[in-house]
Parts: sequence; structure tokens; C-alpha cells
Amino acid sequence: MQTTIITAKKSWKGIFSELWEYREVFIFLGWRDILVQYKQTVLGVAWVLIRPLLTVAIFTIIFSHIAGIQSTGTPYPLLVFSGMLAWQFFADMLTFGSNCFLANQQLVSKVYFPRLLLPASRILCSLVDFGIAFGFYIMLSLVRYQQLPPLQCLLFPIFLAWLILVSFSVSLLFASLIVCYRDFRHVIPFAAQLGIYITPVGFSLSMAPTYVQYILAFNPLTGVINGFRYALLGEQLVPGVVAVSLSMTVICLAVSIMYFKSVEGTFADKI
Amino acid sequence: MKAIKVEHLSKVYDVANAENRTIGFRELITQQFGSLFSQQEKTNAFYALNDVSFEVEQGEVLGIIGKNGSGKSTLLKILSRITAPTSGKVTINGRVASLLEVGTGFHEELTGRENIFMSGIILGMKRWEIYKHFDEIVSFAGVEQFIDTPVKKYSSGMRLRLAFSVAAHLQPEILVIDEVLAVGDYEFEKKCMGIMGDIKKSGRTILFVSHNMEFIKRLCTKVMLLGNGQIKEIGAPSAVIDTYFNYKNSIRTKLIFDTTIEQPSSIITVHTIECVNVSNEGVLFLEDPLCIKTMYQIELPQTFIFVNLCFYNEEGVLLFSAFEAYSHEIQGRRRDVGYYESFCYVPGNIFNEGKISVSLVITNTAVADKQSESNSVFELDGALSFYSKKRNNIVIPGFMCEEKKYGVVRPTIRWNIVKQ
Repeated sequence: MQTTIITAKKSWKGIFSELWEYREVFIFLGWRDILVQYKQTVLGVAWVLIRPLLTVAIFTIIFSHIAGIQSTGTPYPLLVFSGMLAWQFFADMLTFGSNCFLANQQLVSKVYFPRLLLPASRILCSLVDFGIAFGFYIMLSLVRYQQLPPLQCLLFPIFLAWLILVSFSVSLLFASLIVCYRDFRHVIPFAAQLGIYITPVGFSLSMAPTYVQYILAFNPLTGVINGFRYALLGEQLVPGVVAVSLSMTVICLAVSIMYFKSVEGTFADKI
Repeated sequence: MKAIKVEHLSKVYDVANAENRTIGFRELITQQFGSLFSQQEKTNAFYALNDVSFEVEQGEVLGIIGKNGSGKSTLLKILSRITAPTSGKVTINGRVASLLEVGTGFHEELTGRENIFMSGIILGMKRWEIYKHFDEIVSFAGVEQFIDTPVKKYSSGMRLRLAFSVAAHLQPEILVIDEVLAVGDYEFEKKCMGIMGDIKKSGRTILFVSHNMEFIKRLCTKVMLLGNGQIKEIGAPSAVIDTYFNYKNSIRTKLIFDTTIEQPSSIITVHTIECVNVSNEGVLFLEDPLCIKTMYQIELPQTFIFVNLCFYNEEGVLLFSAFEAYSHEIQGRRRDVGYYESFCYVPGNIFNEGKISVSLVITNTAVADKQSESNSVFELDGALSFYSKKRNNIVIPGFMCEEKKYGVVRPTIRWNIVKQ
């Protein structure tokens, strides 16, 4: 028979077995988000494409045609689109994931399941959107630009996993912060709006001077997007940048998990 | 083996912060600075639970009662792991399902079918269990026709039935229930009772909070009374419930209108209202008649002012009203200035067991422009209260608790059976 011990501090022991035990909750929460997201919308799933495509179009017009930024080799729209894939996923997780405890107040205050599953299940929903946009990207690169992805595209899943990790840890951190300090609610739209400019979405990393590359690398998404373009467009992978971004990701994940653990027990009281 | 073992459990809330529940950054900073300069200790700790220890045996049905704010819900929240205790330890043997509300996990946009899965999974069912019971759940709720309609288009009754139906098919070893039975109509309550009875028979452990003493008496094998976050009493249902009532009630068999009580109007001055034949402990036996005496002074001549009484049970149901104005001898009679004593006689065998409270209602028919409806000029709820009880507390062997007759009143009924 299963024995549960409840004390003031939840121990780290058994955290993974518990998550595994609640895997169906994880799947169903994600499934619910996917179902609900485009219910009662006229254009439905088309929204998944409209958002990145419009951004790509605007970036192309402003940066490529007006400002005259030239990408070396790869067509500019593909460059932006590959960056947008990553950014869109991140922004989606940030906006919805960080609000997940408040949005599911009803659940958090009435039933138990590992709270970690709420931001985690958002991954599924964002991943579906990502998949659709990604399919469109591949189509665009094959049909419009007749570009076959390079061989290293087999490494793409690794970079995707990295993207998920970054997005998850940032959204988890904000989600737990928002429960305790509502101030951060105002930070989110701001971050989702401005973040795109300190992330190499509209430009290639190689266009920036080396020291700028390293400053940008402190944004973990810089490494992710570098990886995306390496796998999809054959851009040069900058090892230093990847290393800095990777360590930033680890720090970010550690901080957010630690903070989450420290406040998890009293979520229901603060919500 | 013990199903639940609770040791020295406490939960402290910071009252100052509980008011504006989430502190903003600004407050945090000012607080930090504040505490730098003034060495003040925070003393706003509120003990929702204070050193609570108890055990629940396997198969036991434990009822938890107590006033609002006594810590019942906090206890259930800790046991169902929604919030962490401040100190203490709980050991639970078995799978727990908690029903702290009806319809946990429901989403308005999803269809009935989707919600059954969502709610079932959230409440701790496995997918195959839901597949297995799906048809039962749907037919129990009676929503076959609407199963693929979004729940937001359901009537509240349908939603409630569907939600409860899902919950009813949970098969945990330990079930924690909070006041969910208090919603819904009579039919629904009966259904709930049936299911709870089944669960009880199957030997599972139930913890349940309710204000409905009838449920508690019929279902529970043990009752715990909480007050101010501490266990006041734990034991046999009827004994604990008796304690609860005496402690909860400020039983009042006499009310003197001194200066602290506002007088109804300038036309009438009420002096005293009292139950004449109720014992000092405030107990009236079921078969005894009740007499209530009201003493008052009428200040204006030729009025149609009357003193009336309304009787309520502990659930707040109006049992009946005794209107002086409607009694035949008094109807239509004008009253003169003077000192009056009104006696209201209620025959025996009317009140059911429980707390009865009496409201004083003063009407002035003249104000109502001589219409037949009398116009109430003053109402005092709970002017008097007493406890209606059986004279002989004989416990019939084989019954866990004394039988209470159903219904709000308990008249003596004469039967005549003729065999044809």
C-alpha cells in the first residue's frame, strides 16, 4: 500500500517517481490546453501560422528592404523564420506558462497534483504550435527556396530539447514569482515584447562583432537560435557562445527549480 | 494499520499578509527596511490549526464538525496536500482522493465527454478506470444526449450531476470530502447519501466535513469537534454533536430589553421575552408544550400593533409563525395604552430534535393602510433559543446513533390499520 508522509518541507526524494505516477495528469492538462486554445476561434489553427508569418514579413520588410541588412548566403526570410520558430515557442511558454498557476487557481486550491505539471504541460501545447510552424518552415524552404537542410539537421532534436529546457525554466521561475509577487505580471508582456530585440531573431549572429556575440550569449536563446540555424541553414556554430548560453541555461534551471521548491507548499494560500 | 496518523499538526497564517494576500515588491522592501529600523517582531501569527493529533483507523468514517473558522477546511487541505503544514507530520496509508468542491478540473469550453476524462484524471482516476466506468458515469448523471456539448451550455443542475457522477466513481482507499453535499436539491442529497453509504460499506476510510448533523449522525462512526484550531472533542457521534450544540449556542431562554437593545418603535416598548417552561439548561422535551411570555408597553391608543413569533430550526428553516394578529380573539381589535403580557402556547410534539430559535416580529397593521397584509415594523432574529430533545436517551442496541425522525416537525401521528 502506498504511504504518503506530509511535513512542512517536502523532500526531494521521490520527486521523479511522483511525476511519473502523475504522468496522465500531465498529458491531460496539455491535451486540455490544446483543445481549449483554438475553440471558438474562426481561423482556428491558422493563428499558429499567422503570428510568425506576419513577424517574418515585417522583419523582412523593415530590416532587409528598408534598413538593407544582408544575410550572407541564406535568404533573409528563412533566417528570420528559423529564429522566429524558437522565439515564438519561448514567448508562448513565457506568456501562458508563467500565468499557469493563476489561470488554474481553481485546480491549485482544490486538488493535489505535482504543481510542476502545470507549467510543464504547457510544453505540449506550445510544441504542437511549434510543429505546425516548423512544418510550414520546411515547406517554405523546400518549395520557395529549393534548399535542402544540411546533414547536421539530424542534430536538430538536441537544440529543440535545449529550447524546451530554456523556455520551461524561465516560465517556471516567472510562474512561481507571480504567485508570490503579482508585480511580475507586468514584466511578462514587456519581456515578451522587448526580448525579441536582444535575441538574434532578425539578424545572424555572424553579423555582430565578437564582443556583442558574447554579451548576447548571456541570453540562453542566443545559443539555441545559433544551434537552430546551424542545424537548419548550415550557419557556423560559435562554440564560445554556445558554452555561455548553455551554462546560463543550467543556472536558470537551477534557480527556478530551487525557487519553485521553496514556495510550492504554500501556493494554495497565496493564490 | 492506521489509515491516517496526524501528529502535532499546526498551520500558521500571517494575518497581516493574509489581508493583502500577495505582497508586492514595494511592501516587501518597505517591510525589510522597517524591520531594520524598528526591532519589532511580527506577532500577527494566526493559528488555523494548533497542535492537532489524531488517528483514523482503516474503514472508519470520521466526521469533522465545528464553527466556521475552526480549522476544518485547513485540516482537509493539509490532508489532501493542497497546502503544506507549518509544522507536524501526517502519515497516510493508501491512495487519497479529495473532493473539496464539485466539479474540480471542469473546463467550460470542453464537452461533457472531455470533462469526464479531465476531471477524473485530475481527481486521481486512471485512464482505463474512466473508460471502464464511462457509460455508468454518463447514465448516472443523465446527460447522454448532451455528452458532446460544451459544458458551458449545460444547466447548473446538469453540470452538478455530471461532476458528482465522476466523483462518485472514484475508488480511492481514503476519501476526503468537504461540504460538497451541501449543494444540490433533495434528490441529489439522497443520491450522495446512497453513494457515501456504499463507500462506507466497502470498508474504505472517509473523512468528511459537514454542518449537516443529520448526515454526520447517520454516516460517521466517529466525530471530531474542532474549535479555534484545536480538537475540542473526539468520540462517538451523538456525544460530540451534543457538546457542539451546547458550545456553539448561546442558548437564551430569557431576553430583557435593556438600553443596549434598540426598541422597535415609539409606539411600543418591549420589556422582556422569555420561555416560561424551558429548563435552565435550555432544554425542552419533545412532548412538552412551550409557553413564551412577552411583556411590553403600548404607548399610543387605538393601535393595531401586534407581537408575533417565528420559529426556526438549526438549519434556519422557518418551522411556523405564530402571529398574534391572526389569532381569532385578537383579530381586528384595537389596542389601548397600557402594560401587556402576551402568552404564546405551542403544543407538545411539534419540534423535532435540535436547536430551535425564536424571532420576535412586531407588526403594525395600521401602517399597512388597513390591508390584510400586516406590516412588520421590527424583527429580532434569535431573540430566544432552546434545545429540543428526547426525554429518554435510550440507545437502542444495534444502532450507532439515536434515530431522529426526518422532517422539520415531529407531530404525533395516529395510525389506524384495518385489515379488510
